[in-house]
This record gives sequence, C-alpha cells and structure tokens, in this order.
Amino acid sequence: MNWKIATLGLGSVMVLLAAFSLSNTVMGFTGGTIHVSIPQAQLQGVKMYGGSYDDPVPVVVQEVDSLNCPAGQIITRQMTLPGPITIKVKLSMGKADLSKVLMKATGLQSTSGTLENVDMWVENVPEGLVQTIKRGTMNNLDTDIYFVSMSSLGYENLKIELIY
Amino acid sequence: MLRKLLLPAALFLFFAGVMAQTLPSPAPLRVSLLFFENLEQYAENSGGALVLVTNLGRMQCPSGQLLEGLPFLIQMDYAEGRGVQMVAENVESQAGRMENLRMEWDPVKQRWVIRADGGWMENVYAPVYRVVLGTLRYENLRVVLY
Repeated sequence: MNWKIATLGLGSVMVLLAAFSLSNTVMGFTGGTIHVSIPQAQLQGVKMYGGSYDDPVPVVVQEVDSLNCPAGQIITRQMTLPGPITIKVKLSMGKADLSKVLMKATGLQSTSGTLENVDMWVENVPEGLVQTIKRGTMNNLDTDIYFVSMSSLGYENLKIELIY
Repeated sequence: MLRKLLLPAALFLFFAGVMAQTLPSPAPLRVSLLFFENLEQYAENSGGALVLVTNLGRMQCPSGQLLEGLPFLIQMDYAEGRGVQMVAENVESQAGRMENLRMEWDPVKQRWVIRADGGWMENVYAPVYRVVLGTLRYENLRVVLY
C-alpha cells in the first residue's frame, strides 16, 4: 500500500466535501439508488410529497430544514467499475448534522418514532399526498434515494470504505 | 326572446364553471381497529363540496393503518395520535361501540355535532382530504411508491 497516494486520495475527498458543502451542494448522484441508514433521525420542518426524478420516474420528495443524526448515518452505493468489478462504497459517520436537505427517494421505512404537528392533505398529481411535520424523531430510518442535496453537512468520524 | 334568455344563462354557467373549486380525489384511509377518546363529528362545506370533519382527542390503532395517497402510500403497524382531525368525503365502519353518544347543537359552530366520550370502531374506511395530528407515535412506518 502506498501511504502517500492513499493519504492524498483521502485528503482530496475531504477537500471536495468541504468545497461542495461551502457551495451549497454536497452530493449529486445519478443512475440507481443510494441506501441511507440512520439509527436515530431527529427532524425539523419536514415536507413530503410526490414528484418525479429524471422524468418520468416517480419519487417521494422530502424537504427537511434540519436533520440531526446523533448516532450517525451510513450511506452505501453499489457501483460497477470497468473490468467489470462490482464494488460497494460505504460512507459512515459517527454523528451528522444536515441542513436544508432535499431527497428524492423510492420510499422509506422506520421501525418506530414520534412526530409532532403532522398535517396531511391531498393535492392533484404529481404532488398527490402532501405531508408536513413540525418536528419528530424517527428510529432506524432506512431510505433508498435517487438524489440528495443539502445546504450544509457537519459530521464526526467520517469513514469511507470500498467493499469488494 | 329565447336567445336573450339563453345567452345570460350560458354566460352564468361558464363563469360558475370557471369559479367553482373542485377538490382533488381523496386518499383512502383504512384502519382495521380504532380506539378513540372524545370524538366530535360534523359536516362542513369545503371548496363547494360537503365534507365530514372528525375530531378525536386521542386515537390508537393497535393493528396499524394504511393511507393510500397518490403516488405513494403510508403504512404503519401501530399508530397512536393526539389532537387528530380528519376531513373526509365519508366514513364507514363495519362494527363499533360509542360511549355516551349524543347529537347536540353547537352554538359556536352553528351546526349539529355528534359527540362521544370514547369507543372503538372496526374496519374503518374513509376517503380523506386532510388529516392533522398534534402528535403521532408509530411503529414500523413504511412509505411506498405504487
């Protein structure tokens, strides 16, 4: 293992994340989905409605003013490199705080939680069922997303792994 | 003479059609078992359509609930809520029990209101336009596109 190249690579990732964070866009992915797993999600100012991504793929759009993950989050993405080699990229964070998050997901799951000031109403398609939540805690939140962007991301103990 | 009458009538119908608000299609809500406290139910005019408003001080759905909105559905294996308001096209239930049920004139709302202190309802089906909850506690929430 060449430590100089490895250090340079990891340094580049950190610089890119910081640069994207400053420029209001942390991540933008196309093609397939990214799996996000959050043991405990503390949310504020949530809006959820139907929409589309890369028209006409229907998605669940989620806008979150503030998302705190005190137990961190794990983001995994499977991708195929020339060869072909199928690898899994795993980004894990010990703690994460995100603001002004926009997610376009295929759906979501949570084992338990408490939500406050929930308001759901029907609009015409594509929005369809619109839901707003003032604040809430969702445990073991799992979601598969096509797209995510956020205004800022603060984290502790970031670890990026490539799993063959 | 007929032309004079038909023209204003056609114009009236045109503008009535333009001004009329149509509600979007309601989302079917299904609850297999619902326990509730402090039920209040009354009819209201919303966007030109008659809707049924149901207020519940507290509700508990031990077998969960399913809300089939487009383009996704929301499903929970268990749900418990406080300060619930549901605006629906109608409400159906296969069986149930209501305690201290009464129908009384509400001087503030200026309408007849059905009230019950508590009870339960089985196999509830309600096409809803809006659901508001002060708090919601759930188990196994799933939001699924369909």
